[in-house]
Amino acid sequence: MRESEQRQIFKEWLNKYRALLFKIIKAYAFTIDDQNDLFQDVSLQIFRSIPNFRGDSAASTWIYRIALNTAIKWSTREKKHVEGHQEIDHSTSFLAIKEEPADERVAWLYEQIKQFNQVDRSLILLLLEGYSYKEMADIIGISETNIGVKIHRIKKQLVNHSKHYVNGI
Amino acid sequence: MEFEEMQKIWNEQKGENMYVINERALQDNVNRKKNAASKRINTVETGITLINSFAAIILFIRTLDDPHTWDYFGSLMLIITVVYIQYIRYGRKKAENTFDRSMLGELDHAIANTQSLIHFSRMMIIGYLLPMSVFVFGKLLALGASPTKWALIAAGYCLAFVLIFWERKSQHLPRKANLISLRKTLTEE
Repeated sequence: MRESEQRQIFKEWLNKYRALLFKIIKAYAFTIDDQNDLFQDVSLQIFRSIPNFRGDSAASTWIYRIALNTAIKWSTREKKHVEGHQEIDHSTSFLAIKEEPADERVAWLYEQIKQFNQVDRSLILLLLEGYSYKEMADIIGISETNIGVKIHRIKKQLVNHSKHYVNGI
Repeated sequence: MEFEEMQKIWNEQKGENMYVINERALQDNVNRKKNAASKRINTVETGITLINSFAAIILFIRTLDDPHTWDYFGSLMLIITVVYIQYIRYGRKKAENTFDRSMLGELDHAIANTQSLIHFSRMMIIGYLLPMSVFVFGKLLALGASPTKWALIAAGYCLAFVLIFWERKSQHLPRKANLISLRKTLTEE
């Protein structure tokens, strides 16, 4: 594949799936610098992956898989953007919200997602996006039964937390 | 609140128009990062390969005129290091562009990578620094080098040992532990 073609696909994917990317970034990185750093890592991996994309799955699933894998690995680094990385240009923000979601419960939902471990976070994201257990099992690499058990626990926890939130209003 | 309601709230963010990407800056940064990452590791690998190959050839040529066990030994050690580095490089290049793995597959791959870095640092000490120090100090002894020379070279070796241990302890081992714990979280019900 020619690099110009790769760049073109990358540009199209970024435009089409930026909401998807932003949700993953926001679930794994909590400061602007870290979000920028992770977004760069994710973008780089997506760019590199383009020649390997055969269209066996939807582009959104492919991007989801790469973004989640990158985010999980990124979050295991001890000192995020400080080591083994190029310095971040603090004056540039690569991804920003143009208009905030009207419902303040979106922010509450992100807060809840942050409370979970990295693996559960990825499951919550996939679940919220409407992926089936089979698709999740394929993306994560564990059995559907295991996915089911985890999802059951996560849903129960989220619903329990929401009781406190509703009571708190 | 039921989970289905949370899903509805979540879907409020679906509009792509809500987000803006600084495309130009991102593209520049991705390019820079891509080049920097591969350039850094390529430079290290190529540098060590060239330096060690050059040193091995020089030592070997010297043995033609003045056969000396230390030089044969040193030359052989250097060549083994070059072969090993090229082997590691081949594996790294092969794995660099694999993207169709599941999360579990990615984690296993990351654990294997970190493990190979831990092996590599061990190899640097046991298979490279220690034999090379035997060679260098043996040579210093044979040549009757001055105490200053001994002290300088010994300090250099100490520094190299400390840096390798530090990297292993502060970078590779904690990362491996993190990855293994993540894997456990992923696979346990």
